[in-house]
Amino acid sequence: MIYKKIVFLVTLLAFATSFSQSTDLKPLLKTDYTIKKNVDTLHVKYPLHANVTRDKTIKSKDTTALSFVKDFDLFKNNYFLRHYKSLIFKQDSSAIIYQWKEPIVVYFDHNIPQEITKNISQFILSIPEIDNLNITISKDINKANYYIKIANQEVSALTNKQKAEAPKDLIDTYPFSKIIYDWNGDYNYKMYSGVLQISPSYINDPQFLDDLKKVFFISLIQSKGYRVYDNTSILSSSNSNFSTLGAMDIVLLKYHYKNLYKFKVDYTVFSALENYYKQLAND
Amino acid sequence: MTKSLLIAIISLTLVQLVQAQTPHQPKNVQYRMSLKQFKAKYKMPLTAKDTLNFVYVNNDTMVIVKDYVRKPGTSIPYQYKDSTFLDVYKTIAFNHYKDSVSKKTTMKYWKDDIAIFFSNAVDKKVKKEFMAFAEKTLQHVDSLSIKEVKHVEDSNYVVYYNDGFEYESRISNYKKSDYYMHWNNKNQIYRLSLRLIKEDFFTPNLRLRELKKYFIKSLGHFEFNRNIDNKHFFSGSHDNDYQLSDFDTEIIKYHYSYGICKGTNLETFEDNHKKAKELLKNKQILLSFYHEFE
Repeated sequence: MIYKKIVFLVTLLAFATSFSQSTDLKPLLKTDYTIKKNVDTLHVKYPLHANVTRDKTIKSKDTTALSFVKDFDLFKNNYFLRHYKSLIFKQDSSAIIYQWKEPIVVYFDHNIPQEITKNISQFILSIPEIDNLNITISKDINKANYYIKIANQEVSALTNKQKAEAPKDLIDTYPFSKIIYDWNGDYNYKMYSGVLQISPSYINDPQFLDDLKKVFFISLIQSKGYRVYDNTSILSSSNSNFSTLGAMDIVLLKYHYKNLYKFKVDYTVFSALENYYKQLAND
Repeated sequence: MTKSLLIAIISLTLVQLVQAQTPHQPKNVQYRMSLKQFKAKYKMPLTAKDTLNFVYVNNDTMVIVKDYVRKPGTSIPYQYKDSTFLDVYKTIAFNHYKDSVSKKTTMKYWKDDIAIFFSNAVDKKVKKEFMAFAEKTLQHVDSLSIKEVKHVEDSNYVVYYNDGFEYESRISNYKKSDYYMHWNNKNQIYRLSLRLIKEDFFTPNLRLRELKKYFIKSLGHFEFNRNIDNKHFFSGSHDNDYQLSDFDTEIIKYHYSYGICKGTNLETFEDNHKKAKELLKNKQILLSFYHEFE
């Protein structure tokens, strides 16, 4: 009996230890390196009697990288958190959070009809002020880092095989069926430039403006999902002909950009941050 | 100096395939190299006499090398680096295939100075600012410099955009910007083509930053390490406006320091440091590494 109790306690301890290890966030903290020159001297006998001076490399961790967690109220809003995770990760454990790390400066190609440029510009400029996310429009391409243009040929994020096999209504509601977006980012998945390309034939399609706005919105968060069931989002299938982002979208953007992560955040890391928040809240 | 010390000095330097007879050494000195290095270098079976003359030094089996003739070159004293530095240096300099860490992964380096050619499409301003960045990067690197050349046939480093002449057929169908690098059996880089996709980097400023990124990587087929603080270039985050920190510069300087064998695999690199440090600490001997002239 005592033996069984010991086994149970050891198992419980092992489980608790593995759980605490799974929420260990220390590996996320980046290491800074500083080299101190000539910190000591070694005497050498061969080949000549001489002194060799040595440098010392100092390591330090940036502990401020996690200081945002205690105030990250996304983690206490269970309803919204569920929506956020569903859209951003779409139950894909390898999905990553992407953020723009530089102010976005949009440039529209000259061959896009003016009324479209005007319509999309109004949509973009209607996005309210959001911390860590700044969007402006420029008429000078050299100042831009976000290029919206009409492609030289038809474009799609779907392969020919996907187009042939997927149900038509799914293709029709997929915003990337005739618009593609490509981005450039760093090793932390922080974006600094992007190009949005439109299929030439799609310009006159009645659905075009809605899809372009959806793609632009998704390009700000790079979500795995593209559908939201809350009808206050432009990603809801019940919405069309919208001129601004929905209330849900704005809240989502505010949470998404509340903190610019200094490290790569995938679903596992995000869950660990969530656990860390709960741990802090209980302390 | 004791006999064992002398054997250690001679043997260990030969392990690196570097140290051999100098004009001042006595003629009756026997030159030895490790069994592993002997097999790799001579590719011939050992004779009975060879095996009778085995000597064990620092856990290595040493073989006598007959009629050893050293090629022209120069000896450079071991450059000491602490383990903290070496641990992070290894993550950058040994770019493992598909991120699978292997002791056989080799470091790559430029043996000759870089002669860079820009295709006509490369913006003048980009070229000028890139060259200033490249020259500044290499100004403290002893054994590597860069100069621009006007003719592609005089170059060993070509920078071009995808919408013009294709200088490297092996990357002509790449959808993303990249470089293609050639190296020889000593892991010496001797040619490189850097191809930027102009549509992805649609302004001169974006192109300049991308060129800077690839240039730093191309100095040693380096791998960025996202565990390093974002203020350093080698973190791959470039938050410091694509400027090199002192730490970044030190990594590049060390990569081109000849105070260690160049072009080795990770295993040899670690062994060399271990042996050099042990000798330095325990016997106050500073090893030299012999580098042959080409």
